[in-house]
Amino acid sequence: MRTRRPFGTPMAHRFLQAVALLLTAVALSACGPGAAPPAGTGPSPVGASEADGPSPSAPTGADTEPWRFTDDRGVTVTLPRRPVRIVAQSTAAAALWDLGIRPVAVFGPQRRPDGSKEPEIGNVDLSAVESLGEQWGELDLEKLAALRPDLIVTTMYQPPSLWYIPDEVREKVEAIAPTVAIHVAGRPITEVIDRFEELARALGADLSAPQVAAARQRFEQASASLREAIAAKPGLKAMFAGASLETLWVAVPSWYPDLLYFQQLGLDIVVPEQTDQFYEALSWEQALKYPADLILYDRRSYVVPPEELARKVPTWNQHPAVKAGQVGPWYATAAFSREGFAAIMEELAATIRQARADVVD
Amino acid sequence: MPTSPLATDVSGTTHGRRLSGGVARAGLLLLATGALALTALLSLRVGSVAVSSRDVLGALFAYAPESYEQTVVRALRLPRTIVGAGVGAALALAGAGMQAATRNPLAEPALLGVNSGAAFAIVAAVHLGHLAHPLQHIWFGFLGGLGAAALVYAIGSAGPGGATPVKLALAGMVVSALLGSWTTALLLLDQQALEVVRFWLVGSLAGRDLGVFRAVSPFLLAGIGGMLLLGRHLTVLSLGEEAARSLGMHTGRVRALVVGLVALMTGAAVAAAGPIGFVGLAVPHMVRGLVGPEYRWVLPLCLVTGPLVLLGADILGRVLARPGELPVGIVTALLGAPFLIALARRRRGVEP
Repeated sequence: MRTRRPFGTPMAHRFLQAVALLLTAVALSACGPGAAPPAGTGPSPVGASEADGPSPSAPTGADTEPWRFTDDRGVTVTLPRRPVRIVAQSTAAAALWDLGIRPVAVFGPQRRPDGSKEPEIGNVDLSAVESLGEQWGELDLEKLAALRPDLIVTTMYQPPSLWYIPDEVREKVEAIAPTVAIHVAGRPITEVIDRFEELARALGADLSAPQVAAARQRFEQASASLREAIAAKPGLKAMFAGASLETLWVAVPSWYPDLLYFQQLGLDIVVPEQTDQFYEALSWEQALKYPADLILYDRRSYVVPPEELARKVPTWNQHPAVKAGQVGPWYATAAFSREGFAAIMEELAATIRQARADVVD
Repeated sequence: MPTSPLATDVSGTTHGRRLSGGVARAGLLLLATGALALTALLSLRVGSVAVSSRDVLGALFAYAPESYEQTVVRALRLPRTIVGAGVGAALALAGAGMQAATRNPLAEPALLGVNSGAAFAIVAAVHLGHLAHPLQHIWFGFLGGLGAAALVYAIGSAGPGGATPVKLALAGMVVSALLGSWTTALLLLDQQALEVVRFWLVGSLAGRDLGVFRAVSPFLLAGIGGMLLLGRHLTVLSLGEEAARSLGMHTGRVRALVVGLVALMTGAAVAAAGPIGFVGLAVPHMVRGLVGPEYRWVLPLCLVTGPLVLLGADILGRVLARPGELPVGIVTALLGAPFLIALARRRRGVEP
């Protein structure tokens, strides 16, 4: 089973591709320059084990009252008390981690072959959590059951399908513990992060902890300065794209939480004709189909880098933005983390400040 | 041009409407060549972006790099047309050679394990060495393809009777299945390798640069030239083991030579464009259906019809999925399925 496919050949498995491409939207906090790992002074861990006792940061979570949370499918999970032993998919684990929730186990992308961390797993300390499998379809049900989790948290790109919990095993998983799913596509990243914050709060996190507050402040500042940088370049048209030697993919902003947020901040982004998938696939003959002043290019390792395109794809070099030397990075696996995304916005603001807006009209 | 008595015999027993006269066959060859020339021009003219004939001519004879249309023709369509012509010719000839040498109507170049060998070598190289440069992939693919073919031939020729068609076919299936499972295992273990080789695993003429084609073209040309010289031998070989022996042929040697040439050509073709099915299987059938099993005619016609079919499929792929493209490997697979069914239903008439 192929997972984490960012882009695919246009004709086959469009659905699978679309789902996989959406991965694009997944967490990357660790990769943003300046995304600091949580220090030991961060919010108190919750849920590491029951032996830790009640969370010090959760005055509202009286353990005698039933716990309720309605997820993005509209499913309300009701438990006799607040869940402590949490298992989460990598992306969800990373989002919760930055808010002070410590899962007991994770599933989904964790490490690359070279040993470095996958962007999806964010700041999660992999030595402190169990792994239930990294690939799609590898979720280890026996180990999951043995962990006696109270709650399983994952994401959704195409509801109601759960990310990294294939439909075939869903019933078995839900027999072990209830699932909560957060929808992470098709709405601005702020809404996604807000949802993770609501969940974290319900799980007992202290959102007024200094580190959470600092991240929030940095996010607000980065948003404001990006908004300013965009406003200072009226007429600037940006295109978000990735490519192989055969195909140019132009991102459809309405699917990507990061691009939706950039639009909210005023950025004029190319919207391809075809919008029912996450991107429009163009043959290289069509390289000029969408003129733009600035190309923000997917920098994941398996996407052909712009330097190679410049050598091998002559029509790439004819795009006005490329001719003008205006190609910047797009961190397509944007984090659902204020800290990580603030770093991304700071870099984008710098790119935009240096860009010319008059390359195309 | 004198016609071989053998060919008249055999074609007479199978199909009445075949062209058996030398003049008619020569006319057919001329016609196919003309069609190929036309298709090659279409391949320069047709694509997901509209280009005028004037731009095509300009790109060929007075290239102006600042013109976008001319860049499309010169830098994108010309290379894929050249690669497509070379690969199509090699696959069709290799298929004809395989079908004659193994007397198996379903034989195609992939039967020798060349495709699976190339795929495995590339995936293994990426997995072990984290190779990044495409030219390295190419050489691994080429050597892997040759290695697999050698292994198939070694297994197929072990034991009494030497390399018989049945043993070769079985050895090819076994080696292909084994290499295929190893490749799958590696790809499951190593997602990065998958990302790197994914586009190569579907045969395509887009994005394959001419440097790669240039690197493998000596092998391609050697294979094509060698095969064309074997026309008479293939005709005799296709009559069957005993008939060929009774005519004084060293069947083992000829078969080994054919297998070697097929491995060389297919290895080069796979390295240049990735695995492309259907052409090697179907084109020899189409050609034999027209001119009968006289390989002195079958081979030159394959040389022309192979590129004709492959370029035609590539053009289709460019037009069907506008503004994207279908890789040619997908188009040939889509065309190949109904063709195989038709072939199975006809049963007689196109046997090698």
